[in-house]
Amino acid sequence: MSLLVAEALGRTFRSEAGETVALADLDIRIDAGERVAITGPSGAGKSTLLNLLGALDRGYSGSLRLDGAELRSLGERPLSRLRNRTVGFVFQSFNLLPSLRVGENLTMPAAFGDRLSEAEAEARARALLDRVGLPDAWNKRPLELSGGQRQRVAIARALLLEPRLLLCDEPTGSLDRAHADAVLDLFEELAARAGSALVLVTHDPVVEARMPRVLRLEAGRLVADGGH
Amino acid sequence: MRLGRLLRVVATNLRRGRGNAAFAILGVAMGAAFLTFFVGLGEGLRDRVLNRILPANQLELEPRSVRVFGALGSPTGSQLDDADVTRIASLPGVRRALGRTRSVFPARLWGGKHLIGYDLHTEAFFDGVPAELLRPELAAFEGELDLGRRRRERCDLDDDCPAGARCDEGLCGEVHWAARFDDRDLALRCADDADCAAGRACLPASAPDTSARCAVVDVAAYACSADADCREHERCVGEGAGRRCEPRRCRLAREADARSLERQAMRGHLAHDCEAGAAGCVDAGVCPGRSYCAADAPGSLAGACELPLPTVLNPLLLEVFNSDMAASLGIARVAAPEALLGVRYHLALGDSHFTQDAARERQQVRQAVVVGYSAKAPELGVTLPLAAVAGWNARFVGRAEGARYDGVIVETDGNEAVAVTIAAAERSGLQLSRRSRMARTFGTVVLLVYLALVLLAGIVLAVAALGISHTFALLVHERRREIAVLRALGASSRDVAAMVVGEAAVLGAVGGAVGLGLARLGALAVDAAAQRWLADVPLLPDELFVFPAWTWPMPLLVGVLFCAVGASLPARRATRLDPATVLSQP
Repeated sequence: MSLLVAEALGRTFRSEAGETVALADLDIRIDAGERVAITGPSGAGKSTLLNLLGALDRGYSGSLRLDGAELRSLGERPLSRLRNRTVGFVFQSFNLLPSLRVGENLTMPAAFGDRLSEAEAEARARALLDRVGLPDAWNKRPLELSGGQRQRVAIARALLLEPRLLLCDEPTGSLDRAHADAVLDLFEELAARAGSALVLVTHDPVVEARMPRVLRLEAGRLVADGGH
Repeated sequence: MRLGRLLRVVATNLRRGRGNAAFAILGVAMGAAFLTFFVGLGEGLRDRVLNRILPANQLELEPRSVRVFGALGSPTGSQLDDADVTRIASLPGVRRALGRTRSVFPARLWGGKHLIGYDLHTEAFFDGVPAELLRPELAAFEGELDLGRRRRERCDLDDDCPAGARCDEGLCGEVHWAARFDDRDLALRCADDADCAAGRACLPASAPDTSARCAVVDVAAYACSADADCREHERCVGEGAGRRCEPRRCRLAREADARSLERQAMRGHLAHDCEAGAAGCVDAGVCPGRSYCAADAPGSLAGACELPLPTVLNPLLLEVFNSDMAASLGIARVAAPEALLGVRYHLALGDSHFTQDAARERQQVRQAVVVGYSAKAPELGVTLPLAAVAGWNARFVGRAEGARYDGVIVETDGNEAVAVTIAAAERSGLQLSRRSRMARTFGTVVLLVYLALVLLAGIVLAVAALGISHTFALLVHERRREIAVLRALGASSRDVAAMVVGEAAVLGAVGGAVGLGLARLGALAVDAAAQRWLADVPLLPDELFVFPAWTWPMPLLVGVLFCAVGASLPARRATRLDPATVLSQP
């Protein structure tokens, strides 16, 4: 069974100015462990699709099932639990909580679920921090880190609960080529180790080239779905 | 979200928002301080002032009076008897009903020379109440007095000790004044049953050196088999099963000794077969222990050993004396209530400054002693055991007078039963006594003022809660991106609400604790100021404030509650933030 199934998926935003169709009639299946790039020009609906896939936005039309569950039919708490257990986010701007130390940021996802005790969460977070090359960053504040270091902390946070679906929005957008490659290596390695499906939004052709499958969106429609 | 993690997040958020937190805490602290302060004051007024006038579950009932051409009369009769008391005891909500009576005979009193330098003389009015009713209250009042130091003072002679206490192995014995308010020790002299209250017998003397007395308690209480079963001023006399304790006869050396408090003079000599001092007589000693030789009548040297009559004063009397009389008369104030305990004075029964005296042979001069204070005592009078006043009413006015009551003191099952009892009593032709009406009016006023002050504190807290609401609305707006991230990481709306409300609750708890401290400090300051500047105000207690145990957690809980309520709206807004929208914003 596919991890994620979207059928006739659409998203329309309504405002006083009228309706804006952000996505329309998308049919997508993503299997566990699959690596997928979502590409397209600005305004094509990439981030909107990412929000839908990550269960952050349920205002869709059509059908969207994550791990077998139709997202629209879930209550608020089961949805939060599903998001916590199944989805890992890496945001373009990292979105680390500036008031918390790196260690606290890393273990935050565990606080909202019951999969890991605090001790287990800390042990796993420290191991991930080692793995992303920041063994001494535990007690630092995010603002004391460089952009690349923050990105690596964000990746570690997303992987803490070994989610089955890892969603990344422009993960290398603020990195130079060398760092971008290193981050992608890290992504692929960690996602493979956790058995996570990796879905990333990118404008970067190099990143796109590394992904076995590419979904291309234009004006809210899926215009291409395939390999290179 | 786990509680430990929640608290850490809350603590972190509070640390970074110290300015907002301090401002919010200040508002809550002020509200909690006002609330605690006013509650302490209200409880103090109720406990320390109101309950001293009349406890909340205690009422005084009397026959209903109506005004007829400027005079007050009662359509149902102005007096009550035992049957009425029994009937009142069966009213709904009544736990206990006890009759009380006022003296209807002329009397005056004098005393105080040892305390203030000369004797004060005044007309005397007596209230008689059942001893068992007053003793617990006297004991409670006595427990609050500083008697501990006096009770065990060093001594060489009995005279070194407080009145009534003996010097035993160099230490004064302990005195329990409240226990002395007892009917059993009364020795109301009589010639026949006509001298005693209706239903009470005159127990004739069984031996020439003992004295007849009215039975003021069950006759069996006087039964004895040897002198050791009796009070030390009594003898066990009579035959077989009829043996009982009777006061010993005595003789004063001079007529003036009947009005003396001098230790040697007042105790006389125990009577013998021969005249005191005559050749061949053996000196049998003086009236022993605390007793004195009470003359049979004015001008008589013959009498019987009696204990001084136990009397109770209203604390207001001492306050009035200290605040007004002492200054007007240019005499020393009485330092403290305990200074009057054990003070003896004289009563002239049947003798009056103002009205017709009783026949001289019926008059009596008796010693009395102060054994306690009670708010149930008349403000300008003296309270005695009921049997004493009833007995003298019978002696001076007639037997029937000894069996009637002016009012009934009623204890209800609880404060809740008071209204029911009053309604039932009014249907039975009774009304609240002036003192009860005054206490209830005062209680209502206190309650209204109390509620008004608490309401004021509530308004301050509500304003603080509005401030909290505003502060947290701003915080939620500032942190909307963080909230969206937390939602993306799996936080439920309940987690988000818990973080916002939890932060406010911590502020409320801290503010409440600060408020509690401020209130207690304020109470100490007000108490100190009152003692310094309001010392002459009658009935002013040492401490105006009472803080029951529940007032300790109250400000914290109220602070938490108001802050949580204040933050609930911002928390609701936080839960409604759309994470997808917020995270899409730059």
